[in-house]
Amino acid sequence: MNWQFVSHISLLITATILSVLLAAWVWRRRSAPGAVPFIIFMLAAAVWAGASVMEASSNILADKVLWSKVLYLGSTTAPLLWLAIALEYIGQGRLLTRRNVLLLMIVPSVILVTVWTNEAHELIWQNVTLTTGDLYPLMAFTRGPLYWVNVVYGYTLMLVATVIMVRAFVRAASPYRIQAVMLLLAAFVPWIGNMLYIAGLTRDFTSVFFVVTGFIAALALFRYRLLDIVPVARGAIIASMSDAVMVFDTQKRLVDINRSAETLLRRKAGEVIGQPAAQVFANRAGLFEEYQDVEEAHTELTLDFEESQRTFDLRLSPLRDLRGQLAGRVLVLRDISERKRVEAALQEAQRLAHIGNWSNDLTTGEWIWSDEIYFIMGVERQTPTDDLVTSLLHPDDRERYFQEVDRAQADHQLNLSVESRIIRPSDGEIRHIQSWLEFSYGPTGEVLSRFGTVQDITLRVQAEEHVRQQNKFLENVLESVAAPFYVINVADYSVEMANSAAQALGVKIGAKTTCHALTHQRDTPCEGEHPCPLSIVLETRAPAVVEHIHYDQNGMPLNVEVHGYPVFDDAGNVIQMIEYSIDITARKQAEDEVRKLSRAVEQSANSVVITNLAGDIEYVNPRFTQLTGYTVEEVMGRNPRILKSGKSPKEVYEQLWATISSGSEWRGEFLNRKKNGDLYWEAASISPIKDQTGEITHYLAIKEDVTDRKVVEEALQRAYDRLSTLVEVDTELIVSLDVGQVMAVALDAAMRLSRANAGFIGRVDGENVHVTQVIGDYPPDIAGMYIPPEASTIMAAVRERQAILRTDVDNYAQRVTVLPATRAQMTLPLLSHEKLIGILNLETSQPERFTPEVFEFLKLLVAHAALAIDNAQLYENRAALIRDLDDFARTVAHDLKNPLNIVMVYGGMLDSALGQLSEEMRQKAIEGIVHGANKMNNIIDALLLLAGVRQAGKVAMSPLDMVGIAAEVIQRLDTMIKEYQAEVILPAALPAAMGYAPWVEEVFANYLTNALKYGGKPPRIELGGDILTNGMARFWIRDNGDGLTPEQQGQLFTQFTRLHQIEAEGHGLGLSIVQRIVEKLGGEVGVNSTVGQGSIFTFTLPYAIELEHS
Amino acid sequence: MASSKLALIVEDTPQIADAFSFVLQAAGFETEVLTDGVMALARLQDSSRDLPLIVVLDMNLPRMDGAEVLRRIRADERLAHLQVIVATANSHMAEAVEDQADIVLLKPVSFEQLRALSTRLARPM
Repeated sequence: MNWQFVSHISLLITATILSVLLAAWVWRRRSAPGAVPFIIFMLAAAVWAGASVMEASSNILADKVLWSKVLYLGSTTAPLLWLAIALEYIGQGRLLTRRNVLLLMIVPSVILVTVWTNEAHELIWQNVTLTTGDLYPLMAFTRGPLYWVNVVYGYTLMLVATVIMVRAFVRAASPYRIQAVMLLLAAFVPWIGNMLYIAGLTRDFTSVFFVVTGFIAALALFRYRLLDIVPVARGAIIASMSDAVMVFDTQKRLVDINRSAETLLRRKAGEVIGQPAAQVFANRAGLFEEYQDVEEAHTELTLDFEESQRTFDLRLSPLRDLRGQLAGRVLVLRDISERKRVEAALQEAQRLAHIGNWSNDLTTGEWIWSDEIYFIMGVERQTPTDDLVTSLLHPDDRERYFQEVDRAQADHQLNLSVESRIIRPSDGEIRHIQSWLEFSYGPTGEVLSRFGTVQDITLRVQAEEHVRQQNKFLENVLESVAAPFYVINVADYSVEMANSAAQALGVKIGAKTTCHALTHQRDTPCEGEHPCPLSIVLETRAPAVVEHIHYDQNGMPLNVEVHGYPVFDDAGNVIQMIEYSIDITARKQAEDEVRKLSRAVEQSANSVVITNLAGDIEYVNPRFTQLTGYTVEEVMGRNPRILKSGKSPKEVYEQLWATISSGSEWRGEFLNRKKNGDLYWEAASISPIKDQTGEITHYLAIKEDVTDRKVVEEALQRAYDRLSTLVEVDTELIVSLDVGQVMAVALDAAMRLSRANAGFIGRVDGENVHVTQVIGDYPPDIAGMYIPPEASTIMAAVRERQAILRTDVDNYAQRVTVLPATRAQMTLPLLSHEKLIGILNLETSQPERFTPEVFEFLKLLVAHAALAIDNAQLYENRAALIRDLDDFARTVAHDLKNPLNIVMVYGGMLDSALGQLSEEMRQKAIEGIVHGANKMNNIIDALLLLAGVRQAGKVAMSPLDMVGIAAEVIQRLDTMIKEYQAEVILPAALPAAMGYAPWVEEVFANYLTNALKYGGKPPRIELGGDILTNGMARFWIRDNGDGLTPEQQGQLFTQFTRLHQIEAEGHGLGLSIVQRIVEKLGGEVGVNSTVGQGSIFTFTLPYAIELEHS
Repeated sequence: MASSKLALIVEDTPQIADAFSFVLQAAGFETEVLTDGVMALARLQDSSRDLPLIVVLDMNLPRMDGAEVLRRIRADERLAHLQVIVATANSHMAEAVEDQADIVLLKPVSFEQLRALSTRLARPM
């Protein structure tokens, strides 16, 4: 054997062994895609190479034929398997269905059957012989028809596989390029070998080359993990991936698109492939504009769709050909909307929960924090470090925190929860943080990484702290309660918790002291007179209060009020009862006391009212309701002012409140009103009720009905008031003799008694009422006025001489009172000795003021007043008379002086100078003396007449012939008439009148004399008479003198005192005589004069009807 | 002034006026009698007539009483200086006019008294 043979055999053996080893190696990774065909491929290569070894080593033709037949097992299947590998590589392994494999297997199977049966038909080999080769004997044969079929089929499969590999190489992205190169190499190796063999350059080393192929493939597989990674499935992945992938060529034409991109574009690949990008993105012009000239980009963008807005991760990458020239661009759009939403939701959830998550790779020291952690920690976004974590921890918590973490790690705990405080740098606030840590350990037990969450639990901690403080506070409260306070277990009456006061009674917690043993020294629960509060609470499920007698440690009985309060579990069962007892011994006694007092108050004969500070009634006793007629319900909460009658003066209430609000007791009397409107008097004692601190809390009124007493008192008081008024008025009336003052006193008293608004006293003059005294609201100018006849009440009183009380002035259509606001009126005649001297009129706007009682009393007053006025009038008249007489005497003296003067002068003249006097002069002197004497005689006659008139009790009246009397008087005054050259006109007839002739003659004489003296120049005097409707005859004497002013007229007859002052001496005596005569005869004198138009003097006398008949 | 001694007598009682005239004429006066105040005042205020040397003025006069006449005489510049003798029976009146009258005679006046006064007044002043 030469080395060539050896090397040849060795090469084949090596290939065989390598193939088996490779198959075995891949067997271990048989789960990888393409592993199975690869293993078979390598086994086929091994069979092929192994059989070649055996064939080469054999020198016997039969053996060689046999091994050649074995060799065919490998050589016919290897190309097929290589194709399978190639398909697996490009990810088209799915094409290797059972059916396809069987179809592909038809030819090899036929070949193999044919080979093994070649002796029968020689379709493969023909004329098989053993020939001598250069290294070892060879099997020589002529190639049969199926031999070529096998070769062609094998080459075809190889070619297909190679084409696949080449295409994969062309498409391979850079990470896979080496893989692709190696696989390409592996694919071409058998070709090269085969070509060398066919070219006759080498022996048939096809099997060896296949092993090389397998080796290279294995290298790719081992070193570059050929079968592990994507490129094999890349096309399929691209096609099926959810990312939208679009490939554009350099002309910006769309050349490839996957299914997702179809969906995204809503176009079929067939429709869009070949279209320019601008057209493809016709409805996304912005997107196209932005990226049309960009080779490479990676960004996020948001696209609007009809139904929603979606976010995409855009990746634009250049495609380069083998020479690195830009061949096109790949656009990948990954829909990350959902991821974004989930991310946002997670962030929101973290934010809401205040939970942040973190991880810490201990191998690199790298920390990753979620957004929320930054927020919780109050730090700016940054790269977290161990130092940052440490610095954030509260200094007091750092050591403990790290100790706990270290301990957990040392114990290989998988997780840990730690509470700690941090100081938040942003505001310096201390926050409570709960950290959850999970540990990941390496094979040797070292910590590789940690991750977990942190949560801000400050609020919870604060709430817990609050609850804790609340509990503490409640404990303190319970502890501070002086009354025993304990919690009883429902099941066995045992005291489970007790405050100090309860413990002082002997409770020992945990000693199962029962409540009944504690407070009653009994062995069984309370019952009967002492109802068990627990049983009540269990039954009613509500708080209960019972009164018990408890015993203290000294055995002293205590009146206590036991309060039970149920405690429920979650299911609503009463599990405990809180019980506390209050010592009410003192209260009990006080209650008894109060009960007694209450009974006294309830049964009191006096009304009792208690009000609060606001004056609202809080209590009234039965006597109150009985007296006032109000029920308790009606007055409760009301103010006692509901009883006000309005008749008690305001000052009383003011004084009352001032007294009681200053804390003192007030006593006084009210006139109040019952519900039914009746008035009643009560004597009240009202005092403030004070609490222990002296604060006034209530007011207490104790009131006695004193109406009966008051009625009598009032009546007495009124009678007294009136009588004293009357006495007072009488005194004043008696004292005063001035009519005006008497009237004023009377009017004032009447006003006071009647409480009228206005009043007046008027003199009555015939039908007229002449106001002389006014008081109150009447207008000031009413004084001196005559009351108009429309004032019907007044006029009626005058007419009927009856006092009239009208409380119904509103019923009169016409205004009958003086004041418009008047609602009631009293008019009382002033009658003295049945003579009406005036009236008193009172008016008020308050109808109820003029009660019949007041009216009656006023009548009495008026009677007194009338007498007093009359007396004063009489006195005044008397005084006036005295004055008149004085003046009269003086007037008479003056009147006598004139004639006396004449007598004296003429007498003296005759006496002293008789001789010197002429006859005429003497004659004149004697006539003058006679005249004077006559004149004096006349005056004395008149005086006597007047005295006669005065003294005459009753003169004998008889019908008079008035014309006759007048004619006689004219005759008597003939001298004077001639002297004044007067014209006196006497009518033929005058009315007959009753009278006394000498006096009536004097009346005429006086009037005529005056008319002659003061009438015109010369006087023209006219006499006349007429009959009046009131049964009187009136006579008048008219002159043509200067006339008289109204003042002079008023003074003519009545005021003698003034006569001398108006220089009417001549009138004086005469007219006063006339007046007295006429009045004595039952008539009246009068004068009617107008200045410049003369005067008419009149007198009336009773009309003598008899005379008319006679 | 008037060369003759004129006396104006204002008196409504003719007998009295006559008596005054007689006495004054006997004393050398010329006399003029008027019976009411209005006429007397008009006579005195008539500047065409001589003023009297004296005026005897009754108080109780028709139409205008003597007191008023006297007041007007004293108020009239031309008449103010006139010697006025008031004769009245009214003592009140006598007192009332005392300031304005030169002489007041309270009636009744005797003839002798009247003659003495007249004689005194008739003496040249």
